[in-house]
Amino acid sequence: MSTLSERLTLARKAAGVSQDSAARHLGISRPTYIAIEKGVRDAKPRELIALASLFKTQVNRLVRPEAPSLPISPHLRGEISGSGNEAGLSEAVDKLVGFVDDYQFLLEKTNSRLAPVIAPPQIERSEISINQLAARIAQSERSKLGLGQREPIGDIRKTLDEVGVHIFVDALNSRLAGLYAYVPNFGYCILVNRQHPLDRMRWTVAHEYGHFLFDRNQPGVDYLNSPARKPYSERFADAFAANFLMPAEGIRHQFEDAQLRSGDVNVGDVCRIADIYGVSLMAMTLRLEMMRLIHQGTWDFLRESGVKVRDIKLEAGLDLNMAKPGIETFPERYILLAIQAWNTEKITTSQFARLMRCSPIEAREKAESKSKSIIDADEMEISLRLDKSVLERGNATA
Amino acid sequence: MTNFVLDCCTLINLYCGWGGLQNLQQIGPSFHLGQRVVDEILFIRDFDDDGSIVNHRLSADEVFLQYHFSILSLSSAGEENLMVRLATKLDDGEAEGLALASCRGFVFCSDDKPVADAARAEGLNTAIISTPELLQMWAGNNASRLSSLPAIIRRTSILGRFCPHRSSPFRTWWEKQRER
Repeated sequence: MSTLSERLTLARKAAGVSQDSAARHLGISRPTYIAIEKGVRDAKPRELIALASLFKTQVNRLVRPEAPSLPISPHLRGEISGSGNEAGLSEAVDKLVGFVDDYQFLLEKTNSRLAPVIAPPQIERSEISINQLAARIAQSERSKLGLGQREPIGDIRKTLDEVGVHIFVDALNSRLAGLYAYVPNFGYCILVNRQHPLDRMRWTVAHEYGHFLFDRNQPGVDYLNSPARKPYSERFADAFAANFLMPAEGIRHQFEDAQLRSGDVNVGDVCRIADIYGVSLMAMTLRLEMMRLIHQGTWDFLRESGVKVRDIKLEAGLDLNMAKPGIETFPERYILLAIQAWNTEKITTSQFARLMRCSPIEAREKAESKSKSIIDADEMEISLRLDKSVLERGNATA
Repeated sequence: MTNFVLDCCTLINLYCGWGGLQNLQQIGPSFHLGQRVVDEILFIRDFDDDGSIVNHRLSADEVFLQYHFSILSLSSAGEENLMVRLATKLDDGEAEGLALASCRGFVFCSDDKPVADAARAEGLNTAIISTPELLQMWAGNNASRLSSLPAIIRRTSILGRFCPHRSSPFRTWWEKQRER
């Protein structure tokens, strides 16, 4: 099977087109079309153009010389079996495949490589409870990543990018929180739903990172409000996310601090602690319950009281008007590679814009803002060429 | 009469600079667009009445109201073959435009060096001209147009975020005009 035929097959499946329909579109027989997909018969240029149009893709993407990313086919977990299509699972997977394909295209264009990921050792299911196991692993990860034992995690995306987990953010079906997959010859990828609130997105990333640690070679999807009991790996990922984002030592410190100030800890205090750690009120309340700092069932009580979280936050003096920051679709490294490829004239402006999923004007603007750096002290503006080596002797005085 | 095929980015640059495309008529009724450029919804920016920058989606209808482009489609096996070969290096819109221009003896308008590189790699003799050259062609020796160039270039820089690449022979000219 040639690269082209592999790409044709992938594109057809992503577009949800049958081989029969594709054959009819080209005015050829089904066996002849199948021969094209098998690489037995070459596709004629006219056929390629017609197929790109039918599959709603670019000829440019079909004829890329690099082998496509192998299909990521998440195995639906038991409790969500059969609901994949309606929850936009296949669209999400196609998006991730496209992102990875573009990432690999950029790596090739810029002669770059991703640092090999040294996957952490597989976690053995131990005799201790899931929560204890997750707490131990989360603590060890925080330590490894230099996050300390009590501090909130600032930019979780950049932190995980450093250990080779590629995080993409895009609009997905609202029932889908995120998707995790291992892509052979590329690495570990997480796709997060942009439509969700920021605290939920952070939770999703931490949860999926838990999968990376626990069952990284088993792709999976996470739906919200799944009715059935979650399997072990899902429960581990949830417990890991709680411990990773809300380290026990830090939470206890914040809780005791609040108690010291007024002799009590109220809902407003919980709201503020949740805000510090970038999690929802629900996540923080459940975490405090789990740590036995508050009574079990407090979250149920709060929920049933009918008070809106928004009102509680307002009362606690939290800034609700703070807009959700513009979250990039792609990891920082991808963006820098795209800018580098464009700045060094390896790709055209239209290609650059398409790789950034924005208009040419927006793409130019992004490149401009990333390529310039202002040194505050001297009010001096310098332009950085991203492809400039800092290792070459001629680029700097000794 | 010279015929020109515009790529998407050149169209955006000219629109931002002039605040429309009507000025193309002053160069001549010889500008064409490939079907793929027409199919792309163009996103441009303009100044509002109060001077603030606003985003604007430019529809194909709006483009045609300002200048009556003829739309070109690939119509021969030669054009299709060339388009697909060029698409290994370029975006579809550029590959189509360059293939059309090359097979029909037209001039292709693009500011991207990879376009010229792809043409060279295919052994094409197609003339390729850039946004600065188009603006110079439009201005010619007309004193009024020449005096409006700095403002047009500033608009293109601010609204279209365009500046010729460091490798472009027109970079210095562009920067000087912008500073005037």
